[in-house]
Amino acid sequence: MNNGALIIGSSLAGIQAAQDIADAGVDVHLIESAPFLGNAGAATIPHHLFTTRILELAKHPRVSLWTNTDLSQTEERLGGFDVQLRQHPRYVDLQRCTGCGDCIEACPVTVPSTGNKAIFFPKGAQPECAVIEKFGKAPCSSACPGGIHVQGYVALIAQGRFQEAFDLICEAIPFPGICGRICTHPCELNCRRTEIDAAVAIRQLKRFVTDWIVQHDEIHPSKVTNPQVPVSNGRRVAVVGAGPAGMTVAERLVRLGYRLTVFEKMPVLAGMLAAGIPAYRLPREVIDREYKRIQKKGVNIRLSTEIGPNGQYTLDDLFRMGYDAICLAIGAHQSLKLRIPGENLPGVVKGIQLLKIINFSQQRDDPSCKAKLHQILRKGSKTRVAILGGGNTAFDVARSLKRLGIPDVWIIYRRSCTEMPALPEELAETENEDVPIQFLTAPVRIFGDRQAGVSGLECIRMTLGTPDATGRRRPVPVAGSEFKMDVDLVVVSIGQVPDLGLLEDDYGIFVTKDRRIQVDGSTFATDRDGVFAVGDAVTSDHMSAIEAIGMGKKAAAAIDAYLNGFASEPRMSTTDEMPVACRDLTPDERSPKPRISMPVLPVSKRLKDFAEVELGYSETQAITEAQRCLACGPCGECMACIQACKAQAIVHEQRENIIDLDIGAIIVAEDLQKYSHEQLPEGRGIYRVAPEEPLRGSAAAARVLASLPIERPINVPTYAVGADPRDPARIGVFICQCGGAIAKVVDTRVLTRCSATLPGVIRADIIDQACLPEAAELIRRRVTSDDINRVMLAACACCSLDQVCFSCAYQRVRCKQSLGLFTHESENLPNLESSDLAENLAHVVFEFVNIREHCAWVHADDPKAATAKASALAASAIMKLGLWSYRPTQTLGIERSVLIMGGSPAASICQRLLNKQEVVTAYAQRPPSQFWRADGHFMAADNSRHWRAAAVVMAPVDSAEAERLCHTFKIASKHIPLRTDPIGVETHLPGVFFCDPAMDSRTVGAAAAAKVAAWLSPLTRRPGMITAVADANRCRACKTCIEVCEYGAPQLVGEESNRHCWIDPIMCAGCGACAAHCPSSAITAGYSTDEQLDAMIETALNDGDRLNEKR
Amino acid sequence: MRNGKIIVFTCNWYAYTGLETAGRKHLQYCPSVYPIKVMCLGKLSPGIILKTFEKGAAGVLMLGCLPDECYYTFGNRHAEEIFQVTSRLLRALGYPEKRFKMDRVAPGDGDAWLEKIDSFVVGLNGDQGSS
Repeated sequence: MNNGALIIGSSLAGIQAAQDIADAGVDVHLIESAPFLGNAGAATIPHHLFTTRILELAKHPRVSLWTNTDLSQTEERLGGFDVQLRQHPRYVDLQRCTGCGDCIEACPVTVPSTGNKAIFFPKGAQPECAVIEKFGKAPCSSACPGGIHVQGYVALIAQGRFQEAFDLICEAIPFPGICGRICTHPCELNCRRTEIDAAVAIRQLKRFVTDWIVQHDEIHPSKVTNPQVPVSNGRRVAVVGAGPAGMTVAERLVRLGYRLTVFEKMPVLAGMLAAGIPAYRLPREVIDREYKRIQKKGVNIRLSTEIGPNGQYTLDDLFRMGYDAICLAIGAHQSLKLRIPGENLPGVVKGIQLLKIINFSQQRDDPSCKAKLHQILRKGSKTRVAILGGGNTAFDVARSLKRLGIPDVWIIYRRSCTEMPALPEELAETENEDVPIQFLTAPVRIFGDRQAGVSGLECIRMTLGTPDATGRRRPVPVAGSEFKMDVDLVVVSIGQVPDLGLLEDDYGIFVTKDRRIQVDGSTFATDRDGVFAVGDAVTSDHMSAIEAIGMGKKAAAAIDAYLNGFASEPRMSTTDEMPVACRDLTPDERSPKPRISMPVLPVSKRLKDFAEVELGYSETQAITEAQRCLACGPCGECMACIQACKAQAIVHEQRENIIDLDIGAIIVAEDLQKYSHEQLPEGRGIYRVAPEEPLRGSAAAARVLASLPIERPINVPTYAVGADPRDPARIGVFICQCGGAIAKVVDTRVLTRCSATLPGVIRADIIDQACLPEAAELIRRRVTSDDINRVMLAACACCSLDQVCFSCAYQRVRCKQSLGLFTHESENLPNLESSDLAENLAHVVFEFVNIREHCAWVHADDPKAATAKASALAASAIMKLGLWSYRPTQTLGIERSVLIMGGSPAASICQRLLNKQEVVTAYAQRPPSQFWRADGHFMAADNSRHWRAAAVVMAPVDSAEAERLCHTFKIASKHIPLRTDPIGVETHLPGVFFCDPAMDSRTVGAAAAAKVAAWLSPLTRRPGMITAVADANRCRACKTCIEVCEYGAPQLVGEESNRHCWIDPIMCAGCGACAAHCPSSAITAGYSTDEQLDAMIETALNDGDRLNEKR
Repeated sequence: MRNGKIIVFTCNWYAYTGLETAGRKHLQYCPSVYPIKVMCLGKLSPGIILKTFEKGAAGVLMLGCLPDECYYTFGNRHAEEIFQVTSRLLRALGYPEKRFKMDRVAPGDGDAWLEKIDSFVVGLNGDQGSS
């Protein structure tokens, strides 16, 4: 059973409570709903103090900090609560973020409501790690069947970062240029700008970047346009059909190392794209370029190669040829029939057939196609044409015929323009090109005879009835509205089905009754093992290119899984359960910004040939248009942060995390509504404190400690001072580059070269980021392999002490933590397992030097001087390490006892709370007349009584008694008045606590109990490397140190003949003043001994000469 | 004074945090300034300071905390005394006053750190000495 404490809110009170409870040896979980700690009330204490408090918690072995976390469920049970936490994703790994801010610089999105980037951290916030503001997927990205990070590339374009935008699109789809022209752009339909004015012209922006790349690729060769063929994994896949679905399957699989061959029946690349879409909409060079790019990646395309009983190979042949899997992507090339009289007359053609003939005669200069076209347009430019249908094919036929010089072309569509499947822009341009469209009109019969061909068409007017299965309103004929049109050619383009000729023999592949290949919805597997199908061939909804691409991606992942025996998780993520982001727009964002209209070829010019109609945006137009984006995400997942982050700390895939805890007591230290929609039960085990009052936090901590069953150690803690490094010194030097922040100014190679020649140095290594786990791993390996006993790390961490100073930082704490510097004594602490890491490094003495803030960042304009200085500082630290002398370890048995004095009710409150924690309490209503220290304890006596206690609490009833108590309490030889904390219960003396009579006695008494409990725990009394130690043999018992010290730490001990100084390690704060004053240099104290200081100064001043030799 | 290096002794708390903040803010100063951290300036003895000059320091600056705000409650009073004593010794030995100074910085005040450093460097070398 855990039975720790849960603190809700990182307010000052919450932080204080967490610290006190954890110090007393109880596990604490502190939750904060924001991504950063201490948003509430932190401003009431100086920033540096607040930071140290947070970092103390961050390094505390008993504390778990949960940022971005809510309370999702609380259930009371016997003796505590079952609590469920919900941690929202930060999208940044707190163990890896170095807080360098590179991601923030790279992020193209500025959130309008805050002015922050979409990835950010507020200055001075803790933990000093970035967070991504991502409420979900942007509506455009979410709508894209191809899985493109749409908002991301729009944001990059808005910044003029075209190459990155292009690479981002290419990561998702193989056909950016094609989609930039013919995509049905579901993204734009879902764009939130439609709420204000018009969607961002996303398709046109995509087209712009692909065109830009063509113009600039020679200047910036891109890894996308010049791909490397991946190493083969030895397996081969055949794809039948070179349309968008098939090619996407091929392109995705070739990335994974498969060898791919695509078989295409037609003599041209690109399936329906080339055959069915005219060049004025999709220029052939765009198709060629994108297919060549895929071929460059290693996909082999074999044109004019039919698969099937009538073709070159059957499916069985393909398996025999060694293909491990086959994917059928044969499209839907067979036109549907009208089923009206006259349909089989000469002069009735299928739309897709006609388009193919026109396109091939255009692009391939094919004489047979030209002859066929001539025959179909038998009256030349006088041919009158009726086109039946409302899809893109109908419009493509109409506009193509116009370009062939045929003026009389009508489109006949049985529903109204709102039901039409063709794109609105297509409709508009067709009307611009003077093609009349007859809406709500259906063909009834075609007139003509076998010899002369078609002579006319009878139509009937329609009206719209109730919606049909597709959701569109069903057209109903209007009786008596029949009319006749004189036409010479009828083009039928009312939809297509796949040509399943290749499956005519029994291949074991099941075909549905609407003539589609039956596949499993998620694996794309047909009924035959190893055969998959994708695209129009499997679905009866006519697919857009982007849908085919999206399906191709899923099928590729499925084929990969199949070929891996479903052994691994899908290697390519195809699903994303993220919600669609829908944030509130600011009034400023709601102001209209008109869409930049697309420049087009004037109608007069465009009908002469098949030149592209849309001319594309200029750079300025593209940037202006992209800047219309509202950044709905607000993160658009452009992945620029991933590129920028050297520490690989960004995790865009992070998802909500649910944590179940067994909790003994809960302290609510902030507005609960921020954390939970439900109310907490009233009563036992739940404590509420005012967020801004740390003293109340302590008081609540005491009550929590008293309420929990005691599993804490009640054994006598031992006190050890000093370290015992093995001699002689074997020093390992590690120089951190800080991902370039140090290395771009300080020449780290010079540093390692110089360090390696210093006495005792075994080796010197450069490490990339000292605050990442792998750095600690490397140091540990070197320590073991080279038998290193001292380590000098030049990074940003600046001391190896087990404490948090004002200048400490989250990453420094993390660095020291992973080196085991906070867990050396963990073997003294039950329930805290010391890690292997700490065990391997426990004997190592560390020294750190900050070459970032002290050198690289402050002498950025003088790298030579910065390197010289860094070298000298590193050399100083190495010399200091070499002089590390053995300091004896002493053990002090400390009782779990307290002496409480004074007449305030606080005294009895404190006593009661401590008794519940099995602390031995003694109460002296009348203060003793004498105090002193002995054996690490406070001693007190008067005429008849005698006390010995590890801690002292003074709880005077009024200011007169307060004065009297402070006056009598005297442990140093000269009288030094006790200095108390005006807002807390601590005094300047360790282990002595004071309850101010002016404060609420319940609060202050309880707070003192918490502090005593924490003080009595072995956790708070770890050995101090800086603690003063006196050498009895050198001491002359002159008492100078006793005069100097205001903590009463130095004491004279020993027989009269051998009086000498002993420094009480519990009272010593480590300032070193006694050592400075000792006339016989008997005392060593502080972070450096005098000998070490001397060597450091010498080295700092004279390292330059050595450096010049080594450069 | 052969290499013109300046040793700045900082206490671990106020002055050191000033130095760190100056670093974080990328404030640029003279690279001959070499900081050496002690937990408290009260730990320095006149002997160490004299040795620092003997080893060739161009100047020594003691940078500590604000009056009555010592982390160790009394260390800065000792530091003041040590500074006075050492100053007298150095003057007796003929060192000009500009080579040894003491000053105070509020915790985390990088700008104050920079200002104290700059004015010490200027005082020592004249205007051209400041970077």
